[in-house]
Amino acid sequence: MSGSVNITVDGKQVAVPAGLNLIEAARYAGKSVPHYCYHPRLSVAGNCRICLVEIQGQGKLQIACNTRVTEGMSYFTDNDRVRKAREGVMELLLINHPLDCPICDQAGECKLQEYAVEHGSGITRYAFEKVRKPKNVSWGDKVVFDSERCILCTRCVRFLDEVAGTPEVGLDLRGEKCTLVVKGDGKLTSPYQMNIIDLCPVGALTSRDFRFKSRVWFMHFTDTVCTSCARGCNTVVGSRGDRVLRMVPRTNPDVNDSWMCDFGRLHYAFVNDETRLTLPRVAGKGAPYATALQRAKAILEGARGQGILAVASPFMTNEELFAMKELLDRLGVEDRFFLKPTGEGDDLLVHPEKCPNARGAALLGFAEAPAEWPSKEYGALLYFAPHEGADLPEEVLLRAKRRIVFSLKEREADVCFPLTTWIEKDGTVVSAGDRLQRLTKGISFEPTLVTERTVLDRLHASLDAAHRPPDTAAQAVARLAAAVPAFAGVTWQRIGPLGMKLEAAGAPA
Amino acid sequence: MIGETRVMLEHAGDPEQRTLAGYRKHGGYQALAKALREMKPEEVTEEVLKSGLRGRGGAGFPTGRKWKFVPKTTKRKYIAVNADESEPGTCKDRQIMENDPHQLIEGTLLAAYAIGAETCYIYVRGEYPHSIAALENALDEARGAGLVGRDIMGSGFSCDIWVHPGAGAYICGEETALLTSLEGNRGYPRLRPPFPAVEGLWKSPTVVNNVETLSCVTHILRRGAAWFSSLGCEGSTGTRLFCISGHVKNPGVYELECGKFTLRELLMDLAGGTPSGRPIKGVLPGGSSMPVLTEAELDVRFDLDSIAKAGSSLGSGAIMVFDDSVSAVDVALNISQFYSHESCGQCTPCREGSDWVRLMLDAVRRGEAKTKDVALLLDVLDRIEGNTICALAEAFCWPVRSFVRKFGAEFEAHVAGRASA
Repeated sequence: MSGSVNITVDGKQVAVPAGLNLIEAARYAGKSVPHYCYHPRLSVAGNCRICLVEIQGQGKLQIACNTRVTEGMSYFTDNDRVRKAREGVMELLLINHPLDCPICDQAGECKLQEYAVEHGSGITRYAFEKVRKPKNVSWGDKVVFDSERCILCTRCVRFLDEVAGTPEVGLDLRGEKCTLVVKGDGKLTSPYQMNIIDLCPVGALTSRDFRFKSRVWFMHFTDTVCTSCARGCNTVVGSRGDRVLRMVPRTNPDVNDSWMCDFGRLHYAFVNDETRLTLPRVAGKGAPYATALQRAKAILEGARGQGILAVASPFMTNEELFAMKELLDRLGVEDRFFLKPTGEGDDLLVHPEKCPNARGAALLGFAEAPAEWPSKEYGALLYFAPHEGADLPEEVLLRAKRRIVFSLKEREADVCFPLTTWIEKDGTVVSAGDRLQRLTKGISFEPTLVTERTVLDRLHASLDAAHRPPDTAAQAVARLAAAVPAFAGVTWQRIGPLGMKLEAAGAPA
Repeated sequence: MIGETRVMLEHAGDPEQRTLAGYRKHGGYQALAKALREMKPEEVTEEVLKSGLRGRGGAGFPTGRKWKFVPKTTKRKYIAVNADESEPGTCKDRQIMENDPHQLIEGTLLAAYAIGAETCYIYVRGEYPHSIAALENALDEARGAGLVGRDIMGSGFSCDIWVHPGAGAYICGEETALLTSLEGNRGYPRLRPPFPAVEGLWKSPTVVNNVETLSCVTHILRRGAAWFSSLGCEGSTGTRLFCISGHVKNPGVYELECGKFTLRELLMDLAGGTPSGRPIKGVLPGGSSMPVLTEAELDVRFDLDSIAKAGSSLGSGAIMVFDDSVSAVDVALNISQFYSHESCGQCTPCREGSDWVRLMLDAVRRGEAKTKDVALLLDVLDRIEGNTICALAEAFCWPVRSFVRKFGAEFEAHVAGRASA
């Protein structure tokens, strides 16, 4: 087999792809080699020394991260010699560590804690005063640095240099006094700076936004994607008590590697906004869904013949857009648009389309809002207000006699339905490069809330008793796949946690 | 009677030697002229290989072999001259730089010609302002005479040499840290592989050679490999500079042929023994980073391989002697203080361990340690040694361990609080 080499890890023979380092290669033998400074997406620093392994035929132990497999190589990740060295490194990492786990934000997801349990001796032999270094150092409005907890692995230094392109963290002083410093005025500037918090294997870099909000073991974690722009960075949302507490990137080599921008990461306050609409409003008064649906049905039926204007939102999932399309088909609505918020993009991840699903809206037959709206008068407006970006112009709103609006906040309309956010439902979006990705429900903001797809389907069913709406997201995807050629062959299962390319959509790669 | 064989320091006493005219009077730049006119670059390397020259910076690696690692295909290559003479007790390279700088320049040009480098940097210890000035003056003269720069002696070979002062870090004498520092970065040693000869300065092949090593190259090319290897002994050919300091009557820098006498003869005859007349207690034969040899071990033949067999090393050529008035614990503590101060902080075992070792020795010295702490000290050394990026960890592990092993009784006395000193 070309492109692979035969190696032996702890006595177990395996074939692994050529060119792998010994950390990655060990995984093929079911072995995990501990590491702090090594990160698959950063250059090799080789400074933590916890990944020392014994290679047969070599006198000194070697670091697994900086050594590549060769044909016939045999190495040990777990013999007495390796264990002793590793225990030594573990002990040395902890002698000057403050061991302030009870008040450290990293507790529960700290590699020092994990490896201390797995590879440490369990006791300390260090009998001297620990080195004092700067604590609670502000690196700007997003990152807080604790030098005493820092193990100087330089992942943050390398990320800002190699990925973000802003080499703004460096090292100062020598030996046991060595510390990280931010160059210049001491404040970070990178719009990707918060990735260093995730990269930090210990509690040295913490998020000003998240710190002290919750112990991680009390939190619920949901794999989903960010909706702040069309990139669709894969994320893990941490929530507690049905409120979002933080968002961190989830590795997806085809989309965002292991990173996300700070804007997307911190863009969740609107989810937790306690002034959000949680029940429909009819003529400015709170109303149960049944009442609101009845009123909406009457408006849509009454407007037939006078024309209906439909404005979707690029924050809607494909399944919601499809449910809307089915309803509009039923009503014979022709004017179907969506409002697309745009802004600045960059060379790394940030996309100029500031919404997750403009492409999905287009694939489902909605046209981007025209510069000049049709100067028609309408009997009714069915409008999904975008979470952000430009709203529908006042004069267009006023051209409709009756208005049914879906909105996060209450607004003036005949019927106003609450919107749910991306973390409150299962669904799919089409990210940049025609990549179909899954949103996953992580919280229920209010138990009273009904998601948009259900509202649209109920409305549809009230107009047409034969409408049999799908129940689960998987069923909705299947229905969409059967009806729309661009989604042919797609299933919830196939999309998977990392998404898939929508080949049938026909966009260039 | 042991005498010096002066080659590199032959004219060191003559102030004229620092000038180009003076240097030329004694055959200066004739080796370069011959090499450029009559020899192919690989013939220069062969001559150095045949001479048996081994690096004088500490590790003793065969110089010709190092040059041969340089890939022939790469266009841009460098010579980096390690003049960051910082190993405690070492003061030999400055003798060359300050008294006879042109032999270093000539040797550097020969090395550059051999490997095909057109740019050389002399990285000089920042605390050596006189060396820096002497080199700058010599380079100015050499440049003016067309010996450095474009089309040297009309040969078509161009090569420039720049002097770069260090900023005071011991670690920058480590060859890869020197390169990182030369590039303008924090002086951190690099992971090997890749080795500098393959990937050094700005990712280009770079040969890092010590000042004395390159000075030897000048004399090898001037008088031939056969002449050079007739000096000294097998494994330690040529002459070598030794810096004898500490408790000896005649401290100083000596140029010697190895293999002709024992360490004891060297210390007693040439260096005159201890000024106090007290017995020698220990000798660090190759700088502070090498294991100590006790009085009982002084009859070892004085050459690279014999000293290595005795469990130490000639290292950088600094021989430090102390008589029996000195406490072994004090020496070990002093050494650990130096290395913990100079640990660059890059990798865990050295960064954290060097200071812990210092603290433990300090506790021993103050009589605050317990018997088991000496065993702990040795165990911690075991966990550090061999597990780091560069050899700075060995530089304190080796001597400290040797002191504990060879002067165990003194450590025992201290931990029991019975130390007299």
